[in-house]
Amino acid sequence: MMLNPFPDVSPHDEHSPAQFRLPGFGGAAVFLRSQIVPARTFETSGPALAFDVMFLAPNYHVWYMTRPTEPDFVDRLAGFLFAAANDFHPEQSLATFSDTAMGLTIAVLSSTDDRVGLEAMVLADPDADVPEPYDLNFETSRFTLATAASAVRCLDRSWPVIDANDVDLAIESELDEEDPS
Amino acid sequence: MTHFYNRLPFPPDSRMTGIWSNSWVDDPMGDEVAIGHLISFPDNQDAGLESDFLSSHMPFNVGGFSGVYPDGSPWMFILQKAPADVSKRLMREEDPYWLMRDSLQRAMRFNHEARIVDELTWTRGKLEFAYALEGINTDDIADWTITDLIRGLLTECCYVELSDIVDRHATGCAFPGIEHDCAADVFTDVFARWGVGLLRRPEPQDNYVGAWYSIEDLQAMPRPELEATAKECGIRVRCRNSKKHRSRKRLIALIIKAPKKQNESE
Repeated sequence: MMLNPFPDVSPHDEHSPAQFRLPGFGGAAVFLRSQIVPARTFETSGPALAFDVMFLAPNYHVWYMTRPTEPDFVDRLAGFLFAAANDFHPEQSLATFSDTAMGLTIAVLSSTDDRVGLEAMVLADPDADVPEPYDLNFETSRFTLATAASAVRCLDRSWPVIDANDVDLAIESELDEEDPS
Repeated sequence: MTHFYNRLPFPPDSRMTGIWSNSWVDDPMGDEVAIGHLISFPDNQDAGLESDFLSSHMPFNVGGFSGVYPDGSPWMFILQKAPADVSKRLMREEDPYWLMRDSLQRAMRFNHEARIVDELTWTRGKLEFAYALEGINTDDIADWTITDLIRGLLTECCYVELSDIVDRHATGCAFPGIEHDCAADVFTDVFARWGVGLLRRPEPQDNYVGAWYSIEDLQAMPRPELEATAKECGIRVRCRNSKKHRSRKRLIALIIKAPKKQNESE
């Protein structure tokens, strides 16, 4: 069992929300923050993951809170970010990332050997008859996109977490299975 | 070694990978102060991008440089300047550096993994002293703004002699006699040339021993001890053809640049 190294600090002080950040040159960034919401929020059969979306630039800062997503949102976004970092010409090879339920799209507009130009767009109200989009154009580095592709998995904790207890148990079970002869 | 590198806690083999200077800095309004912060980033972040990102959220940012530690993790050093009385006038804060620290803290909320490693502050007097330590007559920089003084110290990081920058400031050309696309501004000229990899670290010189005496130690020395140290380094304490003593600043500057052989004979 992991002991709290700071026993005077309450779990509330230590906790920070799962937050993903995709920064760009010129002070632009897209942030995503995940939370669990009760079933009534999206009228689902049980509690579900919801996401806050933030667009940041030096002269504005907008948050859209508690957005639902289509299935496999984090997986799809991770794949898109990795391809944007990895493809020679992602503006030609990569389809626009889109999540209708969240009202978010991200398109690759340009690329060089080091940088990739993105256009991120979020709808102020995805259910509105005439949706009002907020867009953010910015350049980021391929290095940043590559690290973002794994960092985004913090949003649903789908990164390959190794639990020390699980490792011990696995070793013990392997030992148990060994033939004593 | 440069003024900034002498004062910042860089482990050996840290490398500068980028440098910038903002052209849209406000003109001076009265006395100004300057502050610099060394920021470290986790090793999965991009030094160039994060420096640009953070500085874009800091309106008093004058310039800075970024790089990597020997283990590859990135850092940046960012410089800001502002009128000395603004914190008190607008926010009733006695500390003249308050608004720039506040600006940094606001920007760092958008990168919660960035950490402040060190902070340096300057008044105009301290900046002029930095130039005096390089043997520069402060009368030659009397009409420079705080921004100019900071940019001059930044050019030092590009392996350019500060005295050359001061000498050539009025002409606007940092590299006379060398074919280049002159920006008509010595600082811009240096940053542009460094950016395309045409300025390199000079070969180590055997005859400089700046590291043997730290500037802080020399500044703290009583006058007699400072004079004794100067004499040991073969430095004349009295001005040539005069009975007047050299100033403390000049003595410290000469000791910092004293020939190694004379120090080795101590």
